[in-house]
Formats: sequence, C-alpha cells, structure tokens
Amino acid sequence: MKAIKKEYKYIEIFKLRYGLFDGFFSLVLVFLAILIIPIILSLPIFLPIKNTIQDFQITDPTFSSIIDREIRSADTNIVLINIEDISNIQLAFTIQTLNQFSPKAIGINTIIKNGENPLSDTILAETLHNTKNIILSTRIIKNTQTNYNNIRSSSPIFLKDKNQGFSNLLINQDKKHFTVRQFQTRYINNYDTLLPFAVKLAQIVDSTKVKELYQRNNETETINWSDFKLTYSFDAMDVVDNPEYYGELVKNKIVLLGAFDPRKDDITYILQKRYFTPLNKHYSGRAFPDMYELEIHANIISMILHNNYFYTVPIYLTNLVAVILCFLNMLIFFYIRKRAEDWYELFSVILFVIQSLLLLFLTIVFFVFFKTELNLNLALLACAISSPIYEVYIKTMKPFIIRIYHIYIIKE
Amino acid sequence: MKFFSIDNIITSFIIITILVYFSEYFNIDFLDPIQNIIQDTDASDIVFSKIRDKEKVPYDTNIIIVNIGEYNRAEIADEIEIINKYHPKVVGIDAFFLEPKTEELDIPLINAIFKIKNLVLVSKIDSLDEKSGKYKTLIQSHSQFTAYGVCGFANFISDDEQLFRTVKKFSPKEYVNDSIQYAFAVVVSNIYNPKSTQKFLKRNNETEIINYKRFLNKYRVLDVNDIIEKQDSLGFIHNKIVLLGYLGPNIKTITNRDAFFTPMNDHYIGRTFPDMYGVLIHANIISMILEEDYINAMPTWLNNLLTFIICYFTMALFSYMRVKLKSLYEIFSILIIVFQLVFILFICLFLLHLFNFWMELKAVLFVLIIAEIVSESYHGSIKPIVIDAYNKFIRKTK
Repeated sequence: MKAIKKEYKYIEIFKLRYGLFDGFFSLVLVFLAILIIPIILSLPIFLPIKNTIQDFQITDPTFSSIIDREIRSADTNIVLINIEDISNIQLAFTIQTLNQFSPKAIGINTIIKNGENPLSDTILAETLHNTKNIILSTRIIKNTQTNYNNIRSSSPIFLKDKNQGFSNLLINQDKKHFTVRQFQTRYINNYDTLLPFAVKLAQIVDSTKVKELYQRNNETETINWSDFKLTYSFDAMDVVDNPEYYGELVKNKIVLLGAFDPRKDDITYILQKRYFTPLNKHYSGRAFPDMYELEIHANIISMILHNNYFYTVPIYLTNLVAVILCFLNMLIFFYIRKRAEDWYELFSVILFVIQSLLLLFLTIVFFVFFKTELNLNLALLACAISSPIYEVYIKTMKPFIIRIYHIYIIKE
Repeated sequence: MKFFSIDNIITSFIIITILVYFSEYFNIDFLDPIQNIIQDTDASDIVFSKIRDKEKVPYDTNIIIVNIGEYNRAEIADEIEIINKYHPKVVGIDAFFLEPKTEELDIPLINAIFKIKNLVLVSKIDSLDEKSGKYKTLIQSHSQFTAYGVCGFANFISDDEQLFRTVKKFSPKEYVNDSIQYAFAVVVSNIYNPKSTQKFLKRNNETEIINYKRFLNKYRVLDVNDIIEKQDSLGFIHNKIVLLGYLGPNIKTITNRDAFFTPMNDHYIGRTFPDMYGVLIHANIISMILEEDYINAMPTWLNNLLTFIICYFTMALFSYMRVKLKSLYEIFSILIIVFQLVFILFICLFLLHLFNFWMELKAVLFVLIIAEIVSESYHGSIKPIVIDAYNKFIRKTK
C-alpha cells in the first residue's frame, strides 16, 4: 500500500474576525521586535549609538522658534554674578554689598571650602549666617561601589542652618555626551529627600509657585528655555568696587553667584563650564557645549516663577496611542489586501511615509504651539515596522502554523 | 525567472534613483539632526575607536612633541635654543607669529629660529575658488620669521564643513593661485625622510585618510617646563623631528583649545568632547608617511559599481525567492537584508582593520535598507497595476 503524503493547502479567508485575530497577533509580534532593539544596543561596541539615540530629540531645532516668539516677555529679574577665583573674604564682601540692596534671594552655585585664612572663613560664615534669603548648593557625586551616591556640601562652618539645594543638572549622565533638557524635581538619597538648587531659590521668592510645581507630581520637568534672557551678568569685584551702580541692578532681583564668565570664548573654559542644551546651533552630533550651569538654573527658576511648564503626555497614553495606531494599521492592511491586493505594497509604503511625517509634524506643532511633549517615538517605530511584520506573519508564519496544526494535530 | 531580467533591472534602477536624489527631495529642516548624524559618522570610525588596540601600537621614536603651553615668543625662543643644541633633523612649529610684537619678544625668537637647520612653520590656505579648485589666499607668519624656514599649510581639509572639526582626511597638497603648497606634515616628513615622502606623494591622491594610531602616550612628549628642567639630558632629540605646538597649559591639564574630533574618539558618534590636539594630528600624519602605512580608499567608481552589483544581486535573489520559496519569502527577505548588512559591515571593518582598506559604506547600506521595500512595491503593486492598465488599454483600443 502506498503511503499517503500528508499535505495541507492553506487558503486565506478574508473575514473580519480573521482580520482582527491577524491584526492582534501581528501587533504582538511588532512589540516583541521592538523589545529586541535595546538588547542589541546594550552591547559595549554600540554604547555610543545607544547614547546618541537616547540623547536625540526631534524637537530640539524648534526651541529657537519658541524663543523668538517669547523673548520680549523674557524674565530679566535674575542677575548672574561671576565669583570665579575669588577668595572667601571677597565672597563675604560681595554678599555684604548685595545685602545692602535687598535682593529677593541669593544663590551660591559653588561648594565653599575652607580658605587659607581662618579669619576670612569666619567672616564669610558670619555673613552667610546673617543673610536669611540665601541658598547654598550641594553636588551629588556618583558612587560606583554602593547604591547611594555621595553628597558633597560646603564646609560645615558655612552651613549653619543654611538651606541647600543640589545643583546637578545631569545625575548619572556624563555632560560630555548628554544634553540638559530636564531637571529632576527631587532626589532621594538614603531616605533623605533633596530639592534642586533652583527650586529652593524659587521657594524663597514665591513658595506658592513651588507648591504648584510639586502638585504636578512629575519626577522630572522639561526646561522651558524661553523665559530667561541673560540681561545682567557681572564680576563680583565690580559689585564691591561700585556698589552704587551695581546695587540698583540687583535690587529686588534674584542673584545667582557662580563660576562663569560669558566673555571667555576659550574652548578650554567652554568645555569645562558649559553644558549641551537644545539651544545648541548644532542640534546633533559633534558640537561644543553652549550654556553655563548658572544660566540653566536661571532658566529653571524663571520657568517655575512664571508657571511656564511643558505638559508631558503620560507614558501609558503614548504607549496606548502606539498600540492603537499599530492595530489600525493592521486592519487597514487587511482591508486593502481584501479589496485591492495589487495596491497593498505601494499603499503600505505611502501609509508609512504619511504616518511618519504626520507624527513628526504633530510632535513639533504640539511642542511649539501647545507646549506639549507628545513623545511619539514608540508610535513612530511601531508604524515603521508594522508592514513588514504583518507580511511576515500573514504570508509565512500563519500559513506555517495552520499547516502544522492541520497535518499533525487535527491530522487531516 | 532569469538572473538578467527586466524586472531586476527596473527595481535596481528605482533604488539607484532614490539613492541619488533622496537627499534633495527629503531636505526637510526638522530632519537635519538625523542628516547631521548620518553625515558625521562613518562605520569605519568603529575600527579606530573600538577595535584597534591602542596599547599595542609601538612608540614612534622619530617624533618628539614639545608643548609650548601659554609661552610667549621669548619663552618659545628659550625652548628652541635648548632644542637646537641637540641638532634635531627638523623642527616644526605649529603656531602662528602673524604680526611683529615688541623687540623683547621677537628678537630672541628670530635669533633662535635662525639657528635651526631645517625649520618648518605653519601656514593657512583660504578662499577656495570652487571653479578652479585652487585657493586664493595663503596666510603665513610674518616674513621676519618665515625667512628662515619653509612653510606647510596646517589646515585639515574636510570635504564637509558641517562635520564640525572631525578630522578624518587631509590634503597632501593644494594650489594657491598657481603655486603648489604642501601640508605641514608632508613638508616635515620630506625633510626627515625624502624617500618615504616621495613614495607617499606618488600616490597622487587629492585627499588621504589619516591612519590614526597614537595618542600622546605613544610619542615622546616634553611639557612646558621639561625643556628647561631637563636641558642637560635631551640627547634623544638628536637627528629627530621636533614638533612644537599647543598641548594645553600643561599636558596634565586636559584642555581642548586647538583640539579636534577624530575617529579615535571613544564616542565615535554623537555628543562628545574633542580628543586630539592639532599638533598630535600632524604627528600621526608624519608617522603614517614615515611608516608607509597608508589607508587605501576604494575608488569612487568601484564603490558605485559595487553598490550597483549588490543592489542588482539582491533584487535577483528576491525574484528567485519569490518564485522558489514563495511561502518563506517574507521572512527570508528580511533575514537576507539583515545578514547582508552585518556581513558587509563586517567585511568593511575587517578590511580596514587588517588591510588598511577603506570602503565608503553609506550608499551600500542605504540600498540594502530600501531594497525590500522597493522590490515589494514593484512586484506587489507597480508591475501588476501597470500590466493591468496596459491590458485594459489594449482591450479598449481593440
């Protein structure tokens, strides 16, 4: 007797329920494929590529258009004073001079160490103690050996009942490779909750605005770069030597003291002191950093006091959009294949191009006009690979699975 | 189903057309960040950055690099006086002395460089005439200094200024009006070893890819005070190349004035800080010339031919699979593309790492990425639609 060769000929049936099943399984495959990408990029040789992708934001070039629109109303109530290379006694004199003109708040963005002269330290400590509206900064230092980072503060003599705020703009990220786009609203270290330097200063000026910040309940906030314009910045010793002139400029203002000099264009200095921000003329790739830390803090303070935040669409919502969009794509593919199979391939390419451009366009429009970060990267990626994954599923995987099912399980 | 078929020719033609005109049609501002990254990156950078073992590279004892730091002219003159005592074969100064300053500063320097047997100073070429391909301006140090030596241009000619000082290539010679000017490193090498340099120049390439191998730790380096402090024990300078240039206020202070991005950067893509001083780039070029260890680039015509062959072969393979492996076509086509991408990248890195042979990969990678889409669009949609329309037209006319 001849053995009967088992064969099962798969015939595709275009019914809606099958379309829905196919759409669902293709959707699962799409998101499985997306999960593989970070695994590949975790290889050490691809680390620079991973950093570049993480640091990349399509909205960066749009910041200059926001600033052009809003620069007239930019905040000029923040003054930056350069205290680079000055001694503790000179710092004390600077603060004493400032105090005569009643600034709203003073922030010192450096770690103050003991000087060579104990008397100078005592004078500075006394000056700081007598200045009520002053914030000192701390730095969070990465500790590779434990789970907790170290906190570096000024010398204890200067800290007596003084408020501090952490001034790191990038925590656990190297400023050489990453752009400052957001700031962390709080940092929890070994059961202590630390607040940022800029937030502490804003709190002195207007505590209700800071309450509103924390009512938003975000771990990080995107920095709105449009609010601050660097109008006043000068050297500390100029203030001490000409108090009558400079005093009027700091009256009722927020004064930030730190090591920076915007007049210096030496690349050495720029690389040490500045950070990459979205305002960099070179949006991506090789560039020199463009903004001093003190300026960035000023931007953050201004944003808080003006309540000028970006709204970030919750991640679950953007993920849901990605899933819905991808599933709709699958249904569209099913429909096109049913009605006009000849047009399917061309249509899927056109659909991808239109969807990508539309998503990018929407991202930028919402960002520029509605100050909303859509973060549609996942949706974009899902749409990009939905067509090839769908085809792999429909033309290869599904017939194979059904054939196996009929031949070996049902045994037709 | 033939290897040479009209379908394969058409699909290959479509891909090549997209490749050629893509950047024009998709020149959209908000895609600039992506374009910048693509332009700035070469897959071969991975070889310099990650694959080559920099520790195994031997010291180049032909070259001594001297840091001039923040020295003024008189202090540089003091350094040169000490160096001269040891009779180096050639002294190259990677610094400009454009205008005369005070006599206290200039006279010592003139006296010092007067005694140098073979002096090379830097110049700069500027104002390229796009039509003739010649430069119009040559900027040199003041004649009171250049009278005692020869000049070589220090520009690192990049074929795209948007690369923001990433130095991958240099130009061995350029025309300034009607005179030939040679690169600073070439002039120095020529004095030191004319035979090697002439062999290098005989390659007659417009631009040469720099075969980067060494950071500062693979050269003998003398910091700002070392010349003065060790002036009695600098015998190793005798008959060598001495390059004077800026390496920061001192070499322990990591600074990046006059510094550039190179493929040796640990981060071969994206945001990072410059990694190499200009004088060190010159040293790498000189080492390359003296060691006769060049990188040979695939000629453009061969690159284009290879791109076309890979494109056509891929289309033919897809056509074959569409007929012979119908049910597995979709998954196989993707796997083949991934395999080709990885394979070609591997070959490129392998050839560069072991044979110093450089291939321009961007066109090939682009072709492979869009190959499947174009093939599917053509066979799945364009061809049936066109045939259907043609048949309808024929029926109507009949």
